[in-house]
Amino acid sequence: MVQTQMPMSESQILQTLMNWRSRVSAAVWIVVRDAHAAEDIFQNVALKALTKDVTFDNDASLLSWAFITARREGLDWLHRHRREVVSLRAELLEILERDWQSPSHTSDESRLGALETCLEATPEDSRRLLKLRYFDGLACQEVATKLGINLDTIYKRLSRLHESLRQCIEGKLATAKPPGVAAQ
Amino acid sequence: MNVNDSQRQLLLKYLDGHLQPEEEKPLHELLESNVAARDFLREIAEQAVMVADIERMAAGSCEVVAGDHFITVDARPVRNTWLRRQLALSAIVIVALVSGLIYQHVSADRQVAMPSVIYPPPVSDPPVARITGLSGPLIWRGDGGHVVSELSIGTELAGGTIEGMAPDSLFELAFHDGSSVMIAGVSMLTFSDLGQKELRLNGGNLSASVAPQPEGKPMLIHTRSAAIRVLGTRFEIDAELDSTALHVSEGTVEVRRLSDGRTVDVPAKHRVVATVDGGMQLEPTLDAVHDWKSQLQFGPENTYGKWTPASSESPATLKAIPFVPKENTSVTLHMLGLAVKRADNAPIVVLPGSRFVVRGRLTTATDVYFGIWVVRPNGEFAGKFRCRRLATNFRDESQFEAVFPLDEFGLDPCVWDRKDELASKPDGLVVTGAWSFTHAGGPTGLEITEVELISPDPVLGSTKVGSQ
Repeated sequence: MVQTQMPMSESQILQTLMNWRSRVSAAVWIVVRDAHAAEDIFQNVALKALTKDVTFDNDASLLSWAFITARREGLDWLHRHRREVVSLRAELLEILERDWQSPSHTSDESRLGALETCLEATPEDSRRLLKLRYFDGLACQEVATKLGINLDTIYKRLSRLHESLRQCIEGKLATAKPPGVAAQ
Repeated sequence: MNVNDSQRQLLLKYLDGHLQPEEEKPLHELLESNVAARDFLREIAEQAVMVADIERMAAGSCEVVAGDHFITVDARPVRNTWLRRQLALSAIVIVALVSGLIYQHVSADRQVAMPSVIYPPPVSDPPVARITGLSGPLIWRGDGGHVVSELSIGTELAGGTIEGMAPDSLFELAFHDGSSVMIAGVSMLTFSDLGQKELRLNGGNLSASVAPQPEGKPMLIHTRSAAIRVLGTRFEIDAELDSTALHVSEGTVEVRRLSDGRTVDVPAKHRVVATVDGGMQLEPTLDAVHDWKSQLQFGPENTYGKWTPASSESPATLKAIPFVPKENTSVTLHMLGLAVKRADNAPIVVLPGSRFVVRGRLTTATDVYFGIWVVRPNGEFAGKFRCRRLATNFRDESQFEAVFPLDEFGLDPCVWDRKDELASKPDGLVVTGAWSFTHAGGPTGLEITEVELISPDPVLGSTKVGSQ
């Protein structure tokens, strides 16, 4: 974490945002439920951070701004695309954002690499389920129809899959961490 | 505090928009009171965006990652999104660079450097043309030799040099008068427009559609062996070290051989090859043929990869070399490529039912991708298509003969953003190049000894053999 009182340079801003790309995008995804739109919004936020008349003293202020801006852009995207999504209460979203800005966050590159490795060991039908749901953006009912299984089974399989991937990712990250080095 | 399976399913239902009204209150209570539930919600969301990222990379290496994006492609908004992301990333990089930043992010885990670039483009000269199409690795040098490898569609350029670095590189430029030029594959083009368009093709393939030029100011194109004057037409040029082949689709183009000053007017549907010391005969464009076989034994000309001559024990081979797609710098493909053309320059047209047979060797069995470039009869770029054979079709340390039926080729993901203007299938189009690659996280020893295009109907094909 950058702990200086000098305004962050553009390179520091960019580096921090890239390290937090998945988490900020994930916060947007919670709002828009579309991974591609979430990615676009993250990029917009990054551009704003570099081009708007705004300065940041440290990572915390940058991330706080980024999460709030990303959420607003997400809500704006929903409005523009006339999507109706049952959203969480604003105060709950704020709690989530605070949680998500935890300084123990592992860099994006590491998490992405760990997930890739974990997916390689995941059965093909499970990877297909994830692709249909999150890359193709299908609702679970559409995935169920496509795979010829019922909706409840989709939820159960996704539940187990996310949990096993979480454990796998954490295992990979723990293994990769040098002994005696605490999370930053 | 933990989160159990039913609570996880409740979160998934919420994210799916499938929550029943009576489930809303338990959901909010769960999230307010249970940190583990909030963590799991975040975990789902992060996995969702990372899965999309990984799929995009896999699709994007098409583009050779573009190889990444191959094959079972459903051209959802994905491509547009990917493109926008690339544009935005480029913008970020450029903005950062304009401010004097040289940003380098190095992953300690993977030892991958990203993004790479370097100097901002100069803004002093007025732009003369706009980028209308690009894919594959390209390097742009503007005034003063400033180098930019992050380009985006819509960027206005003031003149300079563009270099295609791989068989799947493509760069299309529209001048402000509507004229357009495109380079494909490993090519290098310098251009300017100071009242008169002047281009220098130092090697490779260029096709152009030129709007009528001002009186006395034709477009000039220089190669190492010829000078070409264009008043308004469609044509294609293949420039090699000692020869220039010009194929004219519409209008008339004047070509002058530099070695002796001889000039020939090339009318529509004609071609001429100007060599340093050979003939310069005007010929009508030949009828299309539908079969072709590579001739690697004749040398590495117009190939991409490591070429090895034939020996008493083995035929000439072309081996894949490492290639990092610009769309995804964390991926290393192993790629090779070759021009698809015949010694007599007859256009090679693929038909429904045509198939490519690739013969070669792998040291590690893995998925093998094979792609082709196609153009329309007038030389206009029509698309890049590719096909994949799964690892189960290959064996370690073994020779292979892989068949890629044309019916199984899909539009290469790296040109998805232009799918509305490109052909939906390669049927009936002229194939000008081919490439193959593996995407296995390391070398797979992919090498080929021969590529053959087989016509669906032997009567339609021909027995002539081509050259690289």
